[in-house]
Amino acid sequence: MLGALKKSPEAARVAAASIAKAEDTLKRADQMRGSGDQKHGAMLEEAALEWATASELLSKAARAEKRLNELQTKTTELETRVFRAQALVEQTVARRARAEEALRQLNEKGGAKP
Amino acid sequence: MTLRLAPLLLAALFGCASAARPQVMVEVDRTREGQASVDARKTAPQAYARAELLRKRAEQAYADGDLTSAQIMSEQALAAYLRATIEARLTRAEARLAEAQLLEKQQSERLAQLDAEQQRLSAETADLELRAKVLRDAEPLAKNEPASPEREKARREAARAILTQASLLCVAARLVEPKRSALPPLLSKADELRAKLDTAAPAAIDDANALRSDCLRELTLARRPRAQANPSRGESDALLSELSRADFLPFRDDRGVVVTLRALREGGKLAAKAAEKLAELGRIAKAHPDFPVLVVAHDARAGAKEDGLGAQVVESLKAAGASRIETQRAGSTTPVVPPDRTGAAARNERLEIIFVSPGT
Repeated sequence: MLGALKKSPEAARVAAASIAKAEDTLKRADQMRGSGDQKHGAMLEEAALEWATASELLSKAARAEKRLNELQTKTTELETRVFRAQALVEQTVARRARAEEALRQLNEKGGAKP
Repeated sequence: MTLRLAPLLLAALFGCASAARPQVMVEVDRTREGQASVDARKTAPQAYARAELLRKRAEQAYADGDLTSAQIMSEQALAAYLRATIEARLTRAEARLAEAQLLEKQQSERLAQLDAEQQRLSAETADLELRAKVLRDAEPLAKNEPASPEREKARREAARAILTQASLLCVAARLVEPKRSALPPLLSKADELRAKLDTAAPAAIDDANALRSDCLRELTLARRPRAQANPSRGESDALLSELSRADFLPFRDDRGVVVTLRALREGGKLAAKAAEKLAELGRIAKAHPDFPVLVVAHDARAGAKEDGLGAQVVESLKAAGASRIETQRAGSTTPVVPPDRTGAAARNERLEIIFVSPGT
């Protein structure tokens, strides 16, 4: 798990502190087992796994937040475009109303329809 | 915190021996009380409960005097609290991501709706404005009375220009709807008025104006079925963009999308550059088969002889793939600049390639 995390530059950057803790705890577990204390060695291995899992989760959260940020930027741009499009439609509705009125007046005046 | 410290204080007062609380346990307590852990308790309850369990086990080990186990379990509890806070952060981010995705979908759909509405409204408005223009042009003007010879000459020139415009509008209408019955009489009337201009006075400028209105009305009516069938098609816009991209400097007028070409000949032959341009225009015409092409040759001066340029251009356009083409000579009736100005000949002698709009 730690190997895979370190291979990804993004994960290695965002979860550097917890990856270091996991590595350090794992090293201490090896030392503990080496000294014959199997019980505490196993406990340290469990703690190392906890740090590694937290690191993995942190990388996943960072990716989700990055995606969210990109999507929010895109949505803001879309909102601006929608706002402009709405304004343009309103202008055109007004222009069409003016044209309709002009045509109505001309039709009344001339009594003919083209 | 006070309750947690109480046993330590009591132990100190009564002199009982007790091992110092490991620093990591203090750190666990601090982390547990932090805002991120408080939030995680609600947002990631399972991960938080697991961290709590690990902390309690560490506390138990400490109470039992197993300092090494208390230390290790506290480290694991610390990592578990961190994991709970990250899970909470991830849950929040994923919820907001889902909201943002929904919002993006809604905004994209709204934008597409607005774009379609805008296209439809623009087409309808353009149609209404054109209909109003036709009616306005048809309104009777104050009758022109005989005037001085200079003024009469100016009127005659203006009438010739208006008659040329009328003829070109009627020809454009014929290209859109070849069997339109109102067009032959109008075109004949244009010829009659043109002949009258050379002899009769005063110049029939009012009749020329009325004829121009009639031809514009016929063109509008010829286009109407297509415009009404699909008002939102931006065909002219697409063609205009394509011609602009190809550096033809196109513009729009009542007839359609117009490209003006000058200095097409070199030593009596079609120049290589001109041939390239015509080939490109022919390819564009082929790509837009709904737009018939009207080629209009303008002379630099009155009385210029037919030099066959129009026919030559039509051949080049056809060779490149254009199909529905008609050519017309406008003579010197519609100059761009007054003919007596320096360099006027080069500006006035030109060829218009008109992509006649089949709709609005």
